[in-house]
Amino acid sequence: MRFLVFAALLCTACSPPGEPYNRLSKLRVLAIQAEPADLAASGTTTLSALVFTPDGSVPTYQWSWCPVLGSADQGYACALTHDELVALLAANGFTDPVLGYDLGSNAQVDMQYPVASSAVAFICQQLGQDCARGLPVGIQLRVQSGLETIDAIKDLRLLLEGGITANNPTVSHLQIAPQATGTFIDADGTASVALNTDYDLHVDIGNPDNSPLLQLTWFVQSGDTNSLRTSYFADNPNFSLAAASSMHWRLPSNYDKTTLEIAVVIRDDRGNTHWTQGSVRLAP
Amino acid sequence: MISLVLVLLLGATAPNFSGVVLERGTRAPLAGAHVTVVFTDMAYEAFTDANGEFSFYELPSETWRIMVRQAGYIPFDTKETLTDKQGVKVKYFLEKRSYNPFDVLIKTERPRKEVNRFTITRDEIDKIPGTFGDPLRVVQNLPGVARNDNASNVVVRGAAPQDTFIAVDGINVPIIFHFFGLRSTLPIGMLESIDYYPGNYSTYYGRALGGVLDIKTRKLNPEAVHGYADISLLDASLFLETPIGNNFNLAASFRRSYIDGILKLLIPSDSDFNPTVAPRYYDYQLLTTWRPTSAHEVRGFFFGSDDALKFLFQNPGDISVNITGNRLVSSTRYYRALFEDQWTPSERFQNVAKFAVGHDHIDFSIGNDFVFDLNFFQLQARDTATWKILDGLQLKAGFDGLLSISDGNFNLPQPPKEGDPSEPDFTKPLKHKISGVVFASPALFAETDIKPTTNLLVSPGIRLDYFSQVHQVSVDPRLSARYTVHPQVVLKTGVGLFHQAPQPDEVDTVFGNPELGLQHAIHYALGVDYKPLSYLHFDTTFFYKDLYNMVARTEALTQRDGATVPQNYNNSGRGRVYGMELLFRHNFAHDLTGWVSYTLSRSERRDAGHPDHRLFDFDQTHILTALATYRLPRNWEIGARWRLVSGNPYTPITGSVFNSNDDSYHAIYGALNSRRLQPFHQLDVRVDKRFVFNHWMLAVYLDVQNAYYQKNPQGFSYNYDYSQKRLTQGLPILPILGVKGEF
Repeated sequence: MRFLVFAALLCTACSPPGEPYNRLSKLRVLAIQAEPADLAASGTTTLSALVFTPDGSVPTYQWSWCPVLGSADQGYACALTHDELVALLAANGFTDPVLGYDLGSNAQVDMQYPVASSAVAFICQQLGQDCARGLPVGIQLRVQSGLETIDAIKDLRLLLEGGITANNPTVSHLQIAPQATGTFIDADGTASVALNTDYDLHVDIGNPDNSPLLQLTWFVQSGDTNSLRTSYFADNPNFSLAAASSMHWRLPSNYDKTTLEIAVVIRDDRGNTHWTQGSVRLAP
Repeated sequence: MISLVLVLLLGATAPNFSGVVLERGTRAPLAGAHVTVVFTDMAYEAFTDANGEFSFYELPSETWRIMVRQAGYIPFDTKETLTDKQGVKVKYFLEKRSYNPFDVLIKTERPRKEVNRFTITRDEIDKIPGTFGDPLRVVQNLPGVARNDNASNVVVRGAAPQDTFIAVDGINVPIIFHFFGLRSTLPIGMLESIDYYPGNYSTYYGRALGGVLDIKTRKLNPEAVHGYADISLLDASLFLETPIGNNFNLAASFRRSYIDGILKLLIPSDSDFNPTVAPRYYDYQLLTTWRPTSAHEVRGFFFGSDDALKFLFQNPGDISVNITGNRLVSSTRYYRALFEDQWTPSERFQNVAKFAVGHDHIDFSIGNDFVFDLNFFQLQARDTATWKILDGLQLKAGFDGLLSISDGNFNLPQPPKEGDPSEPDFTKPLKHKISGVVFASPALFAETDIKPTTNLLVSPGIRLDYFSQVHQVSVDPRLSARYTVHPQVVLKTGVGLFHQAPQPDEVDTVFGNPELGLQHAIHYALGVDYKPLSYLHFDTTFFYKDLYNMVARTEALTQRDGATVPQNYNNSGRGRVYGMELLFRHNFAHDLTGWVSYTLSRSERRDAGHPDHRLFDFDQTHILTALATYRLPRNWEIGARWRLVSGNPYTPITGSVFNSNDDSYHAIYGALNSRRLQPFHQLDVRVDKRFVFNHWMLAVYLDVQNAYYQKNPQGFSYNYDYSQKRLTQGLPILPILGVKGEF
């Protein structure tokens, strides 16, 4: 009988309070991207974020990086101050300048390789880690809009000398069609939709590194999608790229705005990400 | 003609009216039943022999009124017509006034020497409301045991679930529950009793800081083939026992759940998850006893269980972006073969040798990556000799050896531990394969029972353990004493040292810290037993537990094999548990049985690097349980259990951070276990009715959990960014109907 209780609890967990994760109704950070996906030795990457504000206002950004993030339950606070990091590296003979933690407050910022690559190799050796795919460090972002604030983090891999950066997967060309008609049109703000009606959404997916796993999260400003995400598993024909590129969306019967925002975020098994956005307008 | 000649030669006469008197339902022969035959002014009487048989000779050929009487049975009257031609043989069934097993339960209580030992018999277990007759679920009603929705987590006197030693006849059995704690893997038919020690137990038991649950298997003594078939909403089971010859008895049992069938009916075909192997479990047991000589009793017990569950998710990405497949597999299997030789050459000496071998296999995976696959072989040997040297002096000594060999493949995040508020971080799984990992733990123990006066019993003991996983030897001195100040009043006290090895994952080179040491606990207890009447028992115990060298999570780094690695755990944890337990037990008398237990306690831990104590995850200040079963006429019984328990502590969430790696928000926690849920209270009721037929009995029961539909809080459910929450509630009114046929 406890199983039924368990099942009931699972059911409760399936329908937590509030709106679903993919409903855009307040300030949200939907993804953080590094382009290129990894930071090559002596190289630079551009950090940007997909942020939604309900009123379309421009939020403020505050970027920083951290060599070691603390635990999730303590909010991923940085475990080392910059002075401690400099002292630690100096104690091991690495006296090159260390990039300051503060990366700026633009919507997108460039980040240089923060320490000497030899120091990264040393840390990898000390930690006994295989850094063939890089040493992960933390990227922290604080976004504010009005009274709302969101803190977000992302891992960024620092490659060793000679390491090759991974490519982000891509998602593009968001289209919409009435359900099962196949008559897709671009969701570029010109397409009009009717309330209380079913639609199919479609995107084009790029998988330049042939990642075995891709997850697409479908965000909508209103209405219900038939799941939060679609998945691509290389070894499972039920989860093909074609299946992952489509989503069913039902608009609500009432909605008090004239346009609806849609965003699709793609991630691979290494956390590399990309997104596309679109909008539709309500038919009069 | 030949028989007539023989009768004449022997001078004997064949009875012309004979028969046997049996108990209705069980077919047990009734010895000493009074059989009277009456015709007009003639009356004759006889008593049945040990086989329930009676005979009358040379009764005239008439229609006789027959009356059969036996104390405790409904009078049986009938008529029989005798003729000259041949004798009449009859079979009479007498119905007992009550088939409540407590009526005939004659218990010779084992002498007590521990500070606390609670023994619950099979017959008591079967009737306790809210437990569905499950043996181990009953334990939650005893003093010192915390309320827990997952019955497999037995929390005794503020100790973590893994700190309580669960054994079958003294043999270590790690997996004693089917999944989710639904049922224990041993059916009630195979059990004789459960001994529960909340602390200060003898040196016979070791390797545990918390309590002990020792499940005693059945003492087989069937005079004929008996058995039962039990059908409930969860599962169905069959139990059979039989004598084979004079010295050999055998019992076998099998049980299978049909949750899978029910779920297939309940889950819509377009549901997000598709159970390819819906949750199902089965378990099996074979018990034999053999008495080759009067001094030897040889027992064999083979038992095991198999749980399986497989789901295919339609949208695995909805659960997490880290899941790399759409399959969830969970399989748990184990078996144990236990052999025991009990040799009692004289009243003053007994030797019990036990040997057990077993295998556990746990296979759990989500998608293609997250894997927990463990094969675990276990050997255990015990030998215990008890020598009554003098009337007031007894020595008990023995060996307790445990050996395990593990193979495994793991790709999982750090497992959650007590005091971890957060969920496991699936973005950082750890990989490790192990092969042939051997843990050996031989132990020697000795204890004496000394009665320097008739009123005082002192039991000092010592236990030496070696733990290969930490390469340490522990020496545990323990002492308990009982002083009878009045025939009805006994003072009792105990103090002792206890050791326990870290959990296997905690000493693993990848998941844990192989340099960990043993965990220590000192138990102190002081109490009073008061028995004002033969069926009334009051027991009060004050206890204190000092826990030190406890394994605690740490964020520190350490040097291992030339590399800087996470230390994961160290032995800097501390803890203290203190409180009082009260038990008022009413053994069966005046149609009533039951008990009231109350525990007042506080359990605290001090984590690595923290100066202050915090509440233990399962700390429950007040635990009150009142249960009773009352016998009604015509084989009806009614029972009720009411519980009032402090809410569990919880850790408040103060904010959240969005993690772009796994597309989810992670909670930021406030002070650990600094808040408490609302108290829990619940009433469970049970009604039993037994129908008795000549050759079998049918028992029907209705067990209703949460009879007044109290919406007890279980915890909180949060929205995706932890900005909204709502209480999750326990089960609603839950009626369970069961049917049990016995013969």
